[in-house]
Amino acid sequence: MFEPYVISDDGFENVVKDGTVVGYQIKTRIAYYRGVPLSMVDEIELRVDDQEVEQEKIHFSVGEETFTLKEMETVTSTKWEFGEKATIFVEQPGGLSRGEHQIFLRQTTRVAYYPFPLEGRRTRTMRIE
Amino acid sequence: MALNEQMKHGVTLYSFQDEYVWGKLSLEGCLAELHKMGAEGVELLGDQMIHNSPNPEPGFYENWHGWLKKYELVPVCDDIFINTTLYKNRRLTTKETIAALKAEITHASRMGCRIVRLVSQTPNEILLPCLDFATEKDVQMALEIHAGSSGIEQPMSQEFIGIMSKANSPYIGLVFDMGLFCRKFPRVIREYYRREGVSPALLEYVDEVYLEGGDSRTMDKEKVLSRYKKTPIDEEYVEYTFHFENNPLDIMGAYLPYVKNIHGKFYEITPEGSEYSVPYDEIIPYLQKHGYQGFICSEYEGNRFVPSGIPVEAVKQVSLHQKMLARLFAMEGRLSHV
Repeated sequence: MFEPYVISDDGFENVVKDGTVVGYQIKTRIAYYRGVPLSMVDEIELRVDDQEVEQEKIHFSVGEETFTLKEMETVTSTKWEFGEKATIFVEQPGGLSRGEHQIFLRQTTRVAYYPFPLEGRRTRTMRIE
Repeated sequence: MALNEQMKHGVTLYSFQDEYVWGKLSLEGCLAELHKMGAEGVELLGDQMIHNSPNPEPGFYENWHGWLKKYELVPVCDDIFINTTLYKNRRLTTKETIAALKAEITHASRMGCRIVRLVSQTPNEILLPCLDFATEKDVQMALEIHAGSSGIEQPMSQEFIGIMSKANSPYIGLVFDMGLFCRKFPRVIREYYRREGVSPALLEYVDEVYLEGGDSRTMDKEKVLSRYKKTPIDEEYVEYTFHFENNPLDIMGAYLPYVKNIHGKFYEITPEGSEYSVPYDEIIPYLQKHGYQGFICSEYEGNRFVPSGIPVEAVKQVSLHQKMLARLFAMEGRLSHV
């Protein structure tokens, strides 16, 4: 169903700032069939090589806007559009080692017409070049 | 019967979500496909293909109306969602919910859509406070009756119908989804779940329930699970069957004067040109007989169940569904002129 949306083929890489690797990123589309304001994203859970990534280290970007997960709870003015790739950036000095990593991403959205949030999840092996 | 009083066939762009998400079709590209297949109208989800809906970028409406003209399409219906769960720590207040519905009505009106489709769990208390506004904007508010949580017998649907009947306004009505009339369980979904590992005996059992005229509501869920459940996916399958009902067409009868639009839900057009589960050869004559004059919009949902690695062919499936509708309309046309 929406599983292929959860982790993009592209965009998994270390992020360099001022010549230093400050973390890594992954791209994700909403696992749903419509766009919603960011405040409706209920949970983002990321595991890399079976290690849970701390919520505080995650920064979520759509378009030119970037928020922490905590900040996102009140962001009603920016929508995560259907089909739009959002970037999840994880602060991690040095980034991830070259080679394969197992990525698990789970996102849930409060879609309003179900009594519970809708969930999308995917596990895939990806490479840092 | 004059031509303009007959039922018309349109397409909801919900059908093309897979093509849209992978960048194969843009909003304009979808409309161009509709024109090629001879559709008369278009329905869409503002939240799906219009950025920042219901407050799109300036210039959107001009483009939209230009496309409608170019591709000769009537804007039929905007399928809207009231985001009552906007905030994590509370639900929207009634005042906020009314404002949200009014914003959607304004957007629909600017797009030329005369109907907004309301979805399951939309708070019914906001209807009457929005009625004058909807009337002024000439936009009808219509709740979708859909198998499962917004089935006809569900308490919130019944409450809506109560308000609708009492108000008796042309601006409050219903949209019926044809997934209410699955005479057979959709086999593309059955096969999807077979690949996911659902036990063959359970798949067979569900098929039989529908073939015998029943549906998920006539199954004793606990008994079915105790008999067939081997893995969690079996339970998921049983839950999923609640999206498909097997009702008599007559559940629509009393409400047809209130029906604003029909979702021509389909899962698979067979090589013979019919829908595998939904009896359109009975539905179209039924609607004609009862004088339904609105749109029926093809809504393809088989796209979600195409095996991974095999391309979704929504354009082909929808054009076959449109062709089927046109054929059935013509048959009925001949009969009504006898």
